[in-house]
Amino acid sequence: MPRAEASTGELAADNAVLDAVHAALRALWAAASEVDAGDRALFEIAVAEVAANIVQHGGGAAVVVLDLAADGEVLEARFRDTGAGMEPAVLAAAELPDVDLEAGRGLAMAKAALDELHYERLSDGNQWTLRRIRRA
Amino acid sequence: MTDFDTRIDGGAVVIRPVGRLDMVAAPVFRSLVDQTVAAGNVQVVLDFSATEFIDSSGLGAVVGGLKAARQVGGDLRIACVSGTVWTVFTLTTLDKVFRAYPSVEEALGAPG
Repeated sequence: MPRAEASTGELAADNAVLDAVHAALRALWAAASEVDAGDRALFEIAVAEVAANIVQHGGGAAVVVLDLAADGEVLEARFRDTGAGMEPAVLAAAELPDVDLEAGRGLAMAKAALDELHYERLSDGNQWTLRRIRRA
Repeated sequence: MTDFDTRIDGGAVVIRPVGRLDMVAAPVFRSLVDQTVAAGNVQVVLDFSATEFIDSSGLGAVVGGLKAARQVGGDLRIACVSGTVWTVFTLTTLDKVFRAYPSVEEALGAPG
Protein backbone atom coordinates (compact mmCIF):
# COMPACT_ATOMS: atom_id res chain seq x y z
CA MET A 1 0.00 0.00 0.00
CA PRO A 2 1.19 3.59 -0.54
CA ARG A 3 2.32 5.51 2.50
CA ALA A 4 -0.55 7.32 4.23
CA GLU A 5 -0.06 10.28 6.56
CA ALA A 6 -2.07 12.44 8.95
CA SER A 7 -1.21 15.18 11.42
CA THR A 8 -2.86 17.19 14.14
CA GLY A 9 -0.89 20.33 13.34
CA GLU A 10 0.32 22.37 16.31
CA LEU A 11 -2.05 22.22 19.27
CA ALA A 12 -2.30 23.81 22.68
CA ALA A 13 -1.33 21.01 25.07
CA ASP A 14 -4.55 20.68 27.05
CA ASN A 15 -7.33 18.10 27.35
CA ALA A 16 -8.63 19.02 23.88
CA VAL A 17 -5.50 17.36 22.45
CA LEU A 18 -7.28 14.01 22.77
CA ASP A 19 -10.04 15.08 20.38
CA ALA A 20 -7.45 16.13 17.81
CA VAL A 21 -5.45 12.92 18.30
CA HIS A 22 -8.49 10.72 17.69
CA ALA A 23 -9.47 12.84 14.67
CA ALA A 24 -5.97 12.41 13.21
CA LEU A 25 -6.18 8.64 13.76
CA ARG A 26 -9.52 8.55 11.94
CA ALA A 27 -7.95 10.50 9.06
CA LEU A 28 -5.04 8.03 8.94
CA TRP A 29 -7.38 5.01 8.75
CA ALA A 30 -9.47 6.72 6.08
CA ALA A 31 -6.30 6.96 3.98
CA ALA A 32 -5.07 3.46 4.96
CA SER A 33 -8.28 1.48 5.04
CA GLU A 34 -6.63 -1.95 4.68
CA VAL A 35 -4.93 -1.77 8.10
CA ASP A 36 -6.27 -4.61 10.26
CA ALA A 37 -8.60 -3.77 13.17
CA GLY A 38 -6.29 -5.40 15.72
CA ASP A 39 -3.29 -3.36 14.60
CA ARG A 40 -5.42 -0.21 14.61
CA ALA A 41 -6.68 -0.84 18.13
CA LEU A 42 -3.24 -1.39 19.66
CA PHE A 43 -1.71 1.56 17.81
CA GLU A 44 -4.59 3.84 18.91
CA ILE A 45 -4.18 2.73 22.52
CA ALA A 46 -0.47 3.56 22.45
CA VAL A 47 -0.93 6.93 20.73
CA ALA A 48 -3.66 7.96 23.17
CA GLU A 49 -1.56 6.98 26.20
CA VAL A 50 1.45 8.98 25.05
CA ALA A 51 -0.81 11.98 24.32
CA ALA A 52 -2.33 11.75 27.79
CA ASN A 53 1.13 11.44 29.32
CA ILE A 54 2.30 14.62 27.58
CA VAL A 55 -0.77 16.56 28.75
CA GLN A 56 -0.60 15.25 32.33
CA HIS A 57 3.11 14.72 32.97
CA GLY A 58 4.85 16.64 30.19
CA GLY A 59 6.35 19.31 32.37
CA GLY A 60 4.05 22.12 31.30
CA ALA A 61 4.06 21.48 27.56
CA ALA A 62 2.48 24.45 25.81
CA VAL A 63 2.39 23.12 22.27
CA VAL A 64 2.20 19.58 20.95
CA VAL A 65 2.09 18.18 17.43
CA LEU A 66 1.41 14.59 16.34
CA ASP A 67 2.41 13.20 12.94
CA LEU A 68 1.12 9.77 11.90
CA ALA A 69 2.12 7.48 9.05
CA ALA A 70 1.18 4.01 7.81
CA ASP A 71 2.53 1.84 5.02
CA GLY A 72 2.45 -1.84 4.13
CA GLU A 73 4.69 -2.82 7.02
CA VAL A 74 4.56 -0.33 9.84
CA LEU A 75 2.44 2.19 11.74
CA GLU A 76 4.38 5.18 13.06
CA ALA A 77 3.63 8.17 15.25
CA ARG A 78 5.82 11.06 16.31
CA PHE A 79 4.91 13.55 19.02
CA ARG A 80 6.88 16.73 19.61
CA ASP A 81 6.08 19.04 22.49
CA THR A 82 7.55 22.08 24.20
CA GLY A 83 7.38 20.91 27.82
CA ALA A 84 10.17 20.31 30.31
CA GLY A 85 9.53 16.62 29.77
CA MET A 86 10.10 13.75 32.12
CA GLU A 87 13.00 11.70 33.38
CA PRO A 88 13.74 9.19 30.58
CA ALA A 89 14.18 6.44 33.15
CA VAL A 90 10.43 6.64 33.85
CA LEU A 91 9.72 5.09 30.48
CA ALA A 92 12.27 2.32 30.88
CA ALA A 93 10.84 1.46 34.31
CA ALA A 94 7.18 1.50 33.28
CA GLU A 95 5.47 -1.82 33.87
CA LEU A 96 1.91 -2.88 34.54
CA PRO A 97 0.90 -2.50 38.19
CA ASP A 98 -1.15 -5.03 40.12
CA VAL A 99 -4.64 -5.42 38.71
CA ASP A 100 -6.32 -3.75 41.70
CA LEU A 101 -4.41 -0.47 41.37
CA GLU A 102 -6.16 2.52 39.85
CA ALA A 103 -3.23 4.32 38.22
CA GLY A 104 0.18 3.83 36.66
CA ARG A 105 -0.71 1.80 33.57
CA GLY A 106 -0.38 4.35 30.77
CA LEU A 107 3.19 3.99 29.55
CA ALA A 108 3.25 0.25 30.22
CA MET A 109 0.18 -0.10 27.99
CA ALA A 110 1.88 1.93 25.26
CA LYS A 111 5.00 -0.24 25.46
CA ALA A 112 2.95 -3.45 25.33
CA ALA A 113 1.03 -2.26 22.27
CA LEU A 114 4.11 -1.25 20.27
CA ASP A 115 7.31 -2.74 18.92
CA GLU A 116 9.30 0.43 19.62
CA LEU A 117 8.70 3.41 21.89
CA HIS A 118 11.43 6.03 22.15
CA TYR A 119 11.49 9.20 24.20
CA GLU A 120 14.11 11.92 23.75
CA ARG A 121 14.63 15.26 25.37
CA LEU A 122 15.49 17.87 22.76
CA SER A 123 17.00 21.32 23.32
CA ASP A 124 13.55 22.91 22.92
CA GLY A 125 11.22 20.16 24.11
CA ASN A 126 10.63 16.45 23.73
CA GLN A 127 10.09 13.89 21.04
CA TRP A 128 8.29 10.56 21.26
CA THR A 129 8.55 8.00 18.44
CA LEU A 130 6.09 5.09 18.34
CA ARG A 131 6.31 2.17 15.93
CA ARG A 132 4.13 -0.88 15.51
CA ILE A 133 4.93 -3.53 12.89
CA ARG A 134 1.70 -4.63 11.26
CA ARG A 135 0.77 -8.20 12.15
CA ALA A 136 -1.89 -8.47 9.46
CA MET B 1 -17.69 15.52 25.74
CA THR B 2 -18.65 12.16 27.13
CA ASP B 3 -22.19 11.62 28.38
CA PHE B 4 -23.28 9.03 30.90
CA ASP B 5 -26.73 7.50 30.49
CA THR B 6 -27.81 6.18 33.87
CA ARG B 7 -30.89 4.08 34.64
CA ILE B 8 -32.11 1.79 37.34
CA ASP B 9 -32.93 -1.73 36.17
CA GLY B 10 -34.16 -4.19 38.75
CA GLY B 11 -31.92 -3.74 41.75
CA ALA B 12 -28.97 -2.40 39.79
CA VAL B 13 -27.82 0.89 38.35
CA VAL B 14 -26.76 0.69 34.72
CA ILE B 15 -24.25 3.30 33.60
CA ARG B 16 -23.61 3.72 29.87
CA PRO B 17 -20.72 5.99 28.85
CA VAL B 18 -21.33 7.51 25.42
CA GLY B 19 -18.08 8.45 23.70
CA ARG B 20 -14.64 8.01 25.23
CA LEU B 21 -13.95 6.90 28.79
CA ASP B 22 -10.60 8.67 28.95
CA MET B 23 -8.63 10.94 31.26
CA VAL B 24 -11.24 13.69 30.84
CA ALA B 25 -14.27 11.50 31.54
CA ALA B 26 -12.72 9.14 34.10
CA PRO B 27 -13.12 11.43 37.17
CA VAL B 28 -16.75 12.09 36.19
CA PHE B 29 -17.42 8.37 35.94
CA ARG B 30 -15.63 7.67 39.23
CA SER B 31 -17.72 10.22 41.14
CA LEU B 32 -20.89 8.91 39.49
CA VAL B 33 -20.12 5.42 40.82
CA ASP B 34 -19.29 6.84 44.26
CA GLN B 35 -22.60 8.73 44.37
CA THR B 36 -24.50 5.66 43.20
CA VAL B 37 -22.93 3.45 45.84
CA ALA B 38 -23.38 6.09 48.55
CA ALA B 39 -27.08 6.26 47.67
CA GLY B 40 -27.34 2.55 48.47
CA ASN B 41 -27.28 1.21 44.91
CA VAL B 42 -24.38 -1.18 45.31
CA GLN B 43 -25.01 -3.29 42.19
CA VAL B 44 -23.58 -1.44 39.20
CA VAL B 45 -23.50 -2.55 35.57
CA LEU B 46 -21.20 -0.69 33.21
CA ASP B 47 -22.68 -0.89 29.70
CA PHE B 48 -19.92 -0.35 27.13
CA SER B 49 -22.21 -0.55 24.10
CA ALA B 50 -21.70 3.14 23.23
CA THR B 51 -18.11 3.51 24.47
CA GLU B 52 -15.76 3.94 21.55
CA PHE B 53 -12.49 4.09 23.51
CA ILE B 54 -11.04 3.65 26.98
CA ASP B 55 -7.60 4.70 28.19
CA SER B 56 -5.56 3.93 31.30
CA SER B 57 -7.37 6.63 33.29
CA GLY B 58 -10.76 5.23 32.33
CA LEU B 59 -9.61 1.73 33.17
CA GLY B 60 -8.34 2.94 36.54
CA ALA B 61 -11.73 4.46 37.25
CA VAL B 62 -13.43 1.14 36.43
CA VAL B 63 -11.08 -0.66 38.84
CA GLY B 64 -11.80 2.01 41.47
CA GLY B 65 -15.53 1.65 40.91
CA LEU B 66 -15.31 -2.11 41.37
CA LYS B 67 -13.47 -1.65 44.66
CA ALA B 68 -15.99 0.96 45.87
CA ALA B 69 -18.93 -1.35 45.11
CA ARG B 70 -17.32 -4.42 46.64
CA GLN B 71 -16.39 -2.58 49.82
CA VAL B 72 -20.08 -2.24 50.58
CA GLY B 73 -21.03 -5.76 49.53
CA GLY B 74 -21.95 -4.90 45.96
CA ASP B 75 -20.38 -5.46 42.57
CA LEU B 76 -19.52 -3.70 39.33
CA ARG B 77 -20.06 -5.79 36.23
CA ILE B 78 -19.18 -4.96 32.66
CA ALA B 79 -21.34 -5.68 29.63
CA CYS B 80 -21.29 -5.24 25.85
CA VAL B 81 -17.52 -4.84 25.65
CA SER B 82 -16.05 -5.04 22.17
CA GLY B 83 -13.28 -3.90 19.89
CA THR B 84 -10.66 -1.54 21.20
CA VAL B 85 -12.19 -1.41 24.70
CA TRP B 86 -11.80 -5.16 25.16
CA THR B 87 -8.27 -4.98 23.73
CA VAL B 88 -7.41 -2.61 26.61
CA PHE B 89 -8.74 -5.12 29.16
CA THR B 90 -6.71 -7.97 27.65
CA LEU B 91 -3.56 -5.88 27.25
CA THR B 92 -3.62 -5.05 30.96
CA THR B 93 -4.73 -8.56 32.09
CA LEU B 94 -7.88 -7.03 33.60
CA ASP B 95 -9.79 -9.55 31.49
CA LYS B 96 -8.84 -11.93 34.32
CA VAL B 97 -10.54 -9.68 36.90
CA PHE B 98 -13.69 -8.76 35.01
CA ARG B 99 -16.03 -11.17 33.32
CA ALA B 100 -17.46 -9.45 30.25
CA TYR B 101 -21.19 -10.16 29.95
CA PRO B 102 -22.55 -10.16 26.41
CA SER B 103 -25.57 -8.09 27.43
CA VAL B 104 -26.80 -5.91 30.29
CA GLU B 105 -29.57 -8.44 30.94
CA GLU B 106 -27.06 -11.23 31.45
CA ALA B 107 -24.95 -9.05 33.75
CA LEU B 108 -28.07 -8.26 35.80
CA GLY B 109 -29.19 -11.87 35.91
CA ALA B 110 -25.92 -13.55 36.83
CA PRO B 111 -25.59 -14.82 40.38
CA GLY B 112 -23.41 -12.76 42.70
